Amino acid sequence: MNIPQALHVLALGLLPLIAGAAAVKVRVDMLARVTARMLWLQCVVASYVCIPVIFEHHAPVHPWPGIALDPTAAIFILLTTIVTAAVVEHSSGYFARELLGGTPPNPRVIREFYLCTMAVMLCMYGIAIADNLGYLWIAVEASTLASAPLVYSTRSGPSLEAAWKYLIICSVGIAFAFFGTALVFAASQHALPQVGSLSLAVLTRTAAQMPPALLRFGYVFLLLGYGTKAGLFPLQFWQPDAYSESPAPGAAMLAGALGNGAMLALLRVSGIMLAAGQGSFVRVTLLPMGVLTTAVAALFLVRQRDAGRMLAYSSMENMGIMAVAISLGSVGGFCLQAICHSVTKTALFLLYVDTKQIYGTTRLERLRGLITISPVRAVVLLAGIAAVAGTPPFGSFLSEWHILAASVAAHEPIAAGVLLVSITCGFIALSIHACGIVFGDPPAGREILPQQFARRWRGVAAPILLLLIALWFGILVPTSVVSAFARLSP
Amino acid sequence: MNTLDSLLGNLLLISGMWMVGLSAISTKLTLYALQTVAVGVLAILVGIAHHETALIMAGAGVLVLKGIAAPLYLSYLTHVVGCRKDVGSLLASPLLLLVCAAAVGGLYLFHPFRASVPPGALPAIGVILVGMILMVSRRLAISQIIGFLVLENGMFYFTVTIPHSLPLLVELGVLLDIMAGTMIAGVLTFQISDSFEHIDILRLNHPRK
Repeated sequence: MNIPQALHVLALGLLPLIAGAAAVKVRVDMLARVTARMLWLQCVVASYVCIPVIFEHHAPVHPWPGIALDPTAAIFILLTTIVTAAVVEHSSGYFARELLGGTPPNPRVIREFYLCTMAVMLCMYGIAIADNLGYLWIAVEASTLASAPLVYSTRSGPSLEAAWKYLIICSVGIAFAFFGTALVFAASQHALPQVGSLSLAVLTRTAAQMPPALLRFGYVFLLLGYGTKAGLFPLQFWQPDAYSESPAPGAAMLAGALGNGAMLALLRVSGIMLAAGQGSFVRVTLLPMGVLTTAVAALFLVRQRDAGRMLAYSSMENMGIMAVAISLGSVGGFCLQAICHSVTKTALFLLYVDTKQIYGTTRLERLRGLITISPVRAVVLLAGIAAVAGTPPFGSFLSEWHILAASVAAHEPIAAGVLLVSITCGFIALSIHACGIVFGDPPAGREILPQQFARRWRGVAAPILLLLIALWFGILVPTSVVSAFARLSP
Repeated sequence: MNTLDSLLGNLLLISGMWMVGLSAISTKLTLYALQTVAVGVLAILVGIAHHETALIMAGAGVLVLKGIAAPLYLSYLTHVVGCRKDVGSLLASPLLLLVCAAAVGGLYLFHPFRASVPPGALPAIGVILVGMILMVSRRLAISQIIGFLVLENGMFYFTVTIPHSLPLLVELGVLLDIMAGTMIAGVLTFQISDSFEHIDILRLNHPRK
């Protein structure tokens, strides 16, 4: 064990653990502020640990067997930390307003939210640094269990239904992923007759000696399992309900942080297949799934009537694009898409928090005239929708362009065509819905911004910060970042 | 060991199919417990025969946690929510049994994964199939949890049939995750029962007034 490296990785978990303990002990009215400060500090710690790993050309950090901090893991740890800090910062205003409202939430629910958020964050760290298929499975399943209470924290009937669907469908999906893990382990015993292995590094090194049929069989189950968690078509049924029924900060965590976990797991297992010379099999299975996910999500976006479900289908669309990137072996495109989608989608869900409280509804036909009620939020919402739909100058434009170019270069014209049409449809649908929310006359009795939203700039600081990150990736990316992304491997 | 292995595998499959046709939840839980204890004991015996400590410990963990603690917890849950009969299924029981028999028969006759999976693992895939049918065909929350656990038994049985066991840490992590999942699903079942006065998943759109 390398002690300095082990201390680095351990340092990553320390503050989230303390914040988790604070969620149980600290007074409820101070909880949001205390947790947010700890998480901004965690951003500094994560930057200190992860940035050198991303930019320096050394081998992955292996503090213990089965744990590896490689550049891809470092990117996702940093991303998860920033997204979680933004969600917690914004949630302080949300819970303060809820406590002042007519039906204040139970303090236990607030504590549960912060505790589960910290648990989800740690599980995401686990997914990122797992260098073992078994540990990866454990972290993905643990992230499902930790996030289930986020979905039903309002304790309403529909939220219970959504939580049940989420827990059961994802658990069954992840059970299939376990079966796939066992099959890959069985395949590894042909290459390493004495023991077999689940280590990603060993599996990648010996993949060419494994029986292809068994490996492909295992990959199908891994794809089914992690694809269910990622919300890929046709396994996405839990996603719209879970996103729209969970309290808005919880939905921001699900979309911004958790969605990447299963996609990262898919990237890791696809890496084994690529090393085994089974890239064509990955393309045959994952590419159509990704393209269809994007197309179906775009169709659902067109006829959407609920703001929460609109954002859920937009997430599904982006997961499809990420799946296409993985199937084409474009790790840089995948990571850039994941970053831009996470920051913009989190920003949009945080604005959704506010609109839900301002209007008291999420029905799109009743959300009108935001520019009259809160011009700042209206402008940020339009920018967020532009960013998530892949409009220049935001980073998502670059990543989507990169993935489209990769699909053309890989001689997949049908996939490229369907992807292009779907992204365009999604863009038009999102723009129409966003313009509907921003312009027009506000509903009667909702013309003025409620007093609770008085701290206008602080209330939108987190979404603006996240959108600035997406903008930075679109216009100001230095060459060191571009070359670091080009070097990434699964 | 191979004869015992195959005998137990087929018994697991038969008990799973029996559960598909049952409506009394307590009998279903008893069958599930027996099935899990059998898988746990088999894992311990295979572990002893092959000198694999990881498999012995995993088998003991499955026996105690999944074979004894989980059925007791689910039995308590059944008692608290006042649910004795599994009344809701998407297809009539005889039809479900027919579907199950067709699926398992097809699996044994055609052995579609011949190139990939050793013949000894067929009952494990059969149990996974039966667990899936048990889960998707039932409407009650508690029956879906039992279906999920049967499916998990199939997965664990599969890991017992492959030549070397999974690492101990992975086996224990998986076991803990499944137990935590069962606990959370149980808590959700309590909440559903409390809010709706029933645990029928297909009727969750009508909350209590």
